[in-house]
Amino acid sequence: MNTTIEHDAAVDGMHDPYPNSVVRQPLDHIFSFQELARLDEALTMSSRETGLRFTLYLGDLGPQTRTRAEELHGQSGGHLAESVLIAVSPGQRVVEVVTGAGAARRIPDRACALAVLSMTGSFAAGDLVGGIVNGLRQMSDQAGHPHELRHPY
Amino acid sequence: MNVAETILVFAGIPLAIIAVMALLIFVPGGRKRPRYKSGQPWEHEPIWYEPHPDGPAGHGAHAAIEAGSTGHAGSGAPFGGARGTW
Repeated sequence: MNTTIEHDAAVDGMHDPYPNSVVRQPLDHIFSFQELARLDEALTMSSRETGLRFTLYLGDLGPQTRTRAEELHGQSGGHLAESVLIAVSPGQRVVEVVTGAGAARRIPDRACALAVLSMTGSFAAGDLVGGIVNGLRQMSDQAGHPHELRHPY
Repeated sequence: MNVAETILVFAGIPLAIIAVMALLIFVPGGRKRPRYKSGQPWEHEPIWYEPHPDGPAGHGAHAAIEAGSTGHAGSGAPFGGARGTW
């Protein structure tokens, strides 16, 4: 299964600062296990095939969604220049795709915009997981494999 | 066939089929999670999903950088990307 990181200090697995607090959420409280498996597969396969690091943030983005998304990109871990963050805020109905400098060379903004277009279409219909998976597929197809980039002929 | 048998066969069997279907459809509890509809508020805590850790192996020297210390990863600027609303 994928690793789910919740940026909430109480859930870091090492210690519980609030031992009497609210019951921990089960892993499938937002998405079913099947949907989580699909997300895991999409993120992992996209990252593996392209050599870029794709992460997904699902939650509020505050009043300045773009700025917040760029901040979050900085916290997404790994090699930031080669990272892509997809930040979805279903409450605000906004999706932000942030590509690091190296990733942006392989996935130009136009390709990100096309992926976002297909994602918002799915989200409007209520399909969060499908939208995200298809968006990831589109962007990783655009980025291509690292080997191809070294031998264009 | 007499009257009772006729009724049983032509009315009873379809009604029985309908009753079984209704049981199968309406009795099993229902969704544990509310179905997401565009426009409804999002009550959950923010959550991150990342790819499986043995993910991008990197080519050569890059693999050493992902040692987990985000402090050395630099910044991804200048950023590219896109945004969308629905």
